[in-house]
Amino acid sequence: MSVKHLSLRGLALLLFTAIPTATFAESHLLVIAGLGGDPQYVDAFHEQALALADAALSSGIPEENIAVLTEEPERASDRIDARSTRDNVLAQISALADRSAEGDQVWVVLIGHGSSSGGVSKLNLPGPDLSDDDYAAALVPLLGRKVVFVNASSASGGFIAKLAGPDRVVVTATRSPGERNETVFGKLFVEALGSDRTDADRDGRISVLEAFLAANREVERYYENEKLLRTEHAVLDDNGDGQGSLQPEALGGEDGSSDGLLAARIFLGGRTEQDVPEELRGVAARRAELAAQLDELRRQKASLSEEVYNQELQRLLLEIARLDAQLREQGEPPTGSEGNESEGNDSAAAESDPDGPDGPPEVLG
Amino acid sequence: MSAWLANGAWAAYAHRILAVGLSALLSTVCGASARQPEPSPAPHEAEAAAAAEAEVPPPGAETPRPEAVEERLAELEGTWRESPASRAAVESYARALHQAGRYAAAAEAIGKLLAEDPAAVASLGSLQARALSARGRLDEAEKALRATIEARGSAELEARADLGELLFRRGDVAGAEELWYSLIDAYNARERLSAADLTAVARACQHLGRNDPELFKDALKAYDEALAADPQAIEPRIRVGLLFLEKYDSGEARTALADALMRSRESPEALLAMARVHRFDHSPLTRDLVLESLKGNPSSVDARVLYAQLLLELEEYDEALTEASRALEVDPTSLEALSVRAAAHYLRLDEEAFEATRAQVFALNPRYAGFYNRLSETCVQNRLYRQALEFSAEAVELDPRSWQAWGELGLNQLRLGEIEAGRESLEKAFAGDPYNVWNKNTLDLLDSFAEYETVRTERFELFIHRDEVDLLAPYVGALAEEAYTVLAERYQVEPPTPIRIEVYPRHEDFSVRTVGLAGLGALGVCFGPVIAIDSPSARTVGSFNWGTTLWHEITHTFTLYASGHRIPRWLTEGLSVYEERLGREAWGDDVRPEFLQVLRDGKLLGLGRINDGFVRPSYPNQISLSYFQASLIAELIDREWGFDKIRSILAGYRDGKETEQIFEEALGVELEELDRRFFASLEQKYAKALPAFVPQTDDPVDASQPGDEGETTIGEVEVTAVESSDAELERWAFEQPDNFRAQYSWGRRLMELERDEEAIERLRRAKELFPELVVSGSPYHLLAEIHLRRDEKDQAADELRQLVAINEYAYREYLQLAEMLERPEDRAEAIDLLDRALFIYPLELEPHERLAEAAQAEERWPIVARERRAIVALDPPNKAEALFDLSQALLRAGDRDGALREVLAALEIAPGYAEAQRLLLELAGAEGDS
Repeated sequence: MSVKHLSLRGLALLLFTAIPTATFAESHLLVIAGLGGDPQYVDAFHEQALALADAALSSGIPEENIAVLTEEPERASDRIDARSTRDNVLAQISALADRSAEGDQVWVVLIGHGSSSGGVSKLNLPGPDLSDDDYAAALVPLLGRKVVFVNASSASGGFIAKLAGPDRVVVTATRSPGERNETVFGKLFVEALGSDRTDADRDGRISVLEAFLAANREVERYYENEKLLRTEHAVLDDNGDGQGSLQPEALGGEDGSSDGLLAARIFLGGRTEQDVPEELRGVAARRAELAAQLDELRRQKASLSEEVYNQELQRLLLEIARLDAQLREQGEPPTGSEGNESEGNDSAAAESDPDGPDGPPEVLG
Repeated sequence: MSAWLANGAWAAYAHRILAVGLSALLSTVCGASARQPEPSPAPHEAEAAAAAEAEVPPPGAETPRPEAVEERLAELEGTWRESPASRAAVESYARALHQAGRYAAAAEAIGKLLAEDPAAVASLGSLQARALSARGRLDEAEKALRATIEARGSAELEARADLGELLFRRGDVAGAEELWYSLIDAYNARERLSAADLTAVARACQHLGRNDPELFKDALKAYDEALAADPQAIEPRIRVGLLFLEKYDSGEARTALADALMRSRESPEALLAMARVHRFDHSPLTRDLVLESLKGNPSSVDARVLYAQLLLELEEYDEALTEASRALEVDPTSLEALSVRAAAHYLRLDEEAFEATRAQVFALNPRYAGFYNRLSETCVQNRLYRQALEFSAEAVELDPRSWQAWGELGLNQLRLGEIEAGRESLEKAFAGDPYNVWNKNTLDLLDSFAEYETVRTERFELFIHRDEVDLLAPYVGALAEEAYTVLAERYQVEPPTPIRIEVYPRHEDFSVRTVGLAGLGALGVCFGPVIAIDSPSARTVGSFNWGTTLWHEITHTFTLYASGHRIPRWLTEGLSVYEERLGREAWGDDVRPEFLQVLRDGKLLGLGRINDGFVRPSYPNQISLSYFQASLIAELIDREWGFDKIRSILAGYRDGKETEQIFEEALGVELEELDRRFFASLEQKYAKALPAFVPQTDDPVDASQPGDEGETTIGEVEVTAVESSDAELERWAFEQPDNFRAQYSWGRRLMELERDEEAIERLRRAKELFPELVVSGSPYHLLAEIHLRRDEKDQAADELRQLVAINEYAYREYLQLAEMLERPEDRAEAIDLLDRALFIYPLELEPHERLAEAAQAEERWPIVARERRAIVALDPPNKAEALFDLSQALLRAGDRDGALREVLAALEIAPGYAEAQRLLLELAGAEGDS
């Protein structure tokens, strides 16, 4: 019985074109904890900010790439950079733009109480606040970076439409400015970023998407357990359309244009390409190509017969497993290049055997 | 005439599909063998009784007494005799006579007037015809009606409607419809119509609704107009009620009829209509209402027919025949009475009499589909589902416009698992009558079948919602197969396979599948080859054990099959509960205090009337208590005579023998003797428990506890400690060592006082007095709590062990005990406990994880694989890991293909998962090697 294979070379190239990433990418984090009001919130926001910084450190982001602003920096002056005032926030974002390079990953996370009025949403800061438009303007100099902007405050839904754009993942704790009650998403998102259990695909790293989905699951559980009506619905936008998704998918929907695709490929820290030895970069590139083929195969699952799908799945996974085993033998974590695919991957993919070890595939038709 | 009704009640009704009021519905529905929810008894019965009581005229001054009727008649007769030529006097007198069932006298009174005053036919001819028709003198009635129509007087429209009904009754559908359509023309042509005229128009519309369902709305509108014309009129109210009931909306029907009864409490027609509503709702007051109606009109053929139907439901066929005969004495041409007589003959397997009656019916009306509809309905009520289907097929053959028959046919097809055919029939019924709620709900349910998946096992076809199929199918399939094997061995029969098991995650869907409407209290239902049960997700944790429910329903499949579906309700339920008890430790009902109470109060019914407890309950919870009683009878027979006698009994029913003969032949004793032995066995069995609940005169409880006129009800003491002074409680416990409540109350108080040693002593005594009391807060629970706080883990475990040996619903306690069994030597017991907990609630992740781990430690790989599969089905946070674990388990269980499939699934989610990759390479290598 002949088995049909997929012709995935073109698709893989398409995928790489769709998600260009920088060579030698670095990660940066800016945490902004707003005004707490009650002491319990001051404490909570302070702790969440530091917990996020800890998670970033643990995941390999260099300390110099992490900045933390809180309402009371004196509580941990060795770890907190400054008070989270309007000017300090803008200064830190500007500094981020200065020290990061194109292709770097820049995380900006807002924690605190939010508000919304007259179509303008804000995070409450000590002193004058910054609006969604202010943040949008402040982020302009970060063009060319992959920006993850998380607003975990109440009434944060308005930020989605204002900040969405290319190479951006925008997450808000609420789907609309009208969800004004205190949120638990921020706390749970921070916890998710610091927990191994969040790593659903077991690749040793936590993607924005994994953290978002894990936190969302916990939010749901929280409201169920507390027998409360759910008053917050976090959303994520990474296709730039300004419409946040409640359930983004790693494959970005059937054609990769829905939310989730980019968020699944940006990680808090993790290894970068310069960590892969020169002699293994070809293997890593082939590995990335296979991963892209696998994504495309999964996307086409519904349109393929079970037999064809399984055959192709097994072929790809076996090759990935063999490559990963090879990388491991060399003491390299196999996923080192997966999340930080360089634009050079295109050429690497073109140079490697695009048909894989099983010979030229047949075209479905 | 078109769409008169713009914003009437019907518009609201049409959108209120699933919200119909079935709150009072009991679970003895349509003769299906429906299992009762346990342990909490269905509150529906008490609610039903209370709701019904609110509508039944209370006994006393306002209840019509025959003497009052007589007095009224005498008064009217006096007026008539004084003025025999007065049309008004004659009409009043004749109407009263007619209402009282004195049809001959009514016809005679009018006849005398017409002899002197022929022109009076214009107003009284219709009434005379009704009196003649009620006695089956149809030719004379027809003549009178035609004369009335020709006279073109005040009764003309009423006469047209009546004549249409008479012609329809004789099979002249075209003639009938011509007359009814003429009423619509009359409505459109005239400016002012009387209430009687409008009622006649409404009746015509209602009949013609079979051709155009829009006319049902017109009927309702015309009834409304009739009531506007005469706000005190009774007949339109009754007919509106019956119209709603015809569409399976008992709530609206009840409202309309209550309104009628408010205005005329003595109206036999209103009482009879209300009886129909109560019958629909399975209310215990149905019979009383019918008898009340018959008191007012002993000659009512309709009331006699309804009463005969009730008797058929009770499987009292001879009595039903007698009642049908009484109806036929009044009107020998009554098609309804003949049909119910035929149904009784059919159930008695008297083929000759059945055929003779059938011939009689079709001689009167060769197109009378109602005959087969009645047979179909009766067969469903008596669990003869295959025969019901055949009769409803005959009905649609005879009258393709009988939407009721199409609906019945569709439902019968569904009951036998013929899903597509059923859908087709229901679509036809719905197209013809879109206002039938049952059909509409069922079609909606069928639409949702696209969300279900079918899984085949050796002898079963599992139909489970796609969200639950991966989780539930392995458990449901395994238990069903086990049950089949066990029951085939015991009953020595093998029902045809595949048997279809439908599992509904929404109780409303299960309810619609079963009775067409929401609100059914049952948990499972069996139609023989088709079983439907609630999914565990449809119920709260601890209120439902799907395993026992399934076992119960599969037992029905066997007992129905072994008896040719002729087993009486009580016996099939009794055997099902008894088999539950044998299926697993703790399964099956246990004695409850309220059972002891009804035993003590002499309320348990003997074998001769035990079916009443299921079909016509007369006190709260009688249905569920009857299940338990019936199971004890089955247990007694098995214990004293052997199980082969139960098989003989089933064979006796299959052969069409009568109950008395069957039991005498099988057991060698008469029913009375069996009753005697049964009740003696109960006295013996509960010798200790009974006095433990007998209230004592010096109970401290008397002043503070609820009770009717100082009488204490046993059910109330279940886990309610008496609140009194410590000294009082102590004295009470000391003086009454055999009183459960005394021991329990003082024991619980001692526990609060942390006088643990004494508390343990009292609570142990309470437990000894009534070991079956295992609900939350039971002595077992309290003792376990005391031991745990004293760090006496083994003793606490022992208490829980005793508890779970009795309580099939104690989910948390199963898990708690399993957790306490940490030692390797206890692991097998822990595995068993976790396994049993899954019959209660398999939807939580943690028990599966614990069971998988425990089984893994014991290297019981099939269990590990099953549990790992369940974990995957529950969509855990880390699914890739769960799939990898499953793959490993399958490999250890010897299923390499399965292992490969699952590890690929794990890597599909997490392609870089190192351990899974290693397993894949290992499996692929082995594959390559082979």
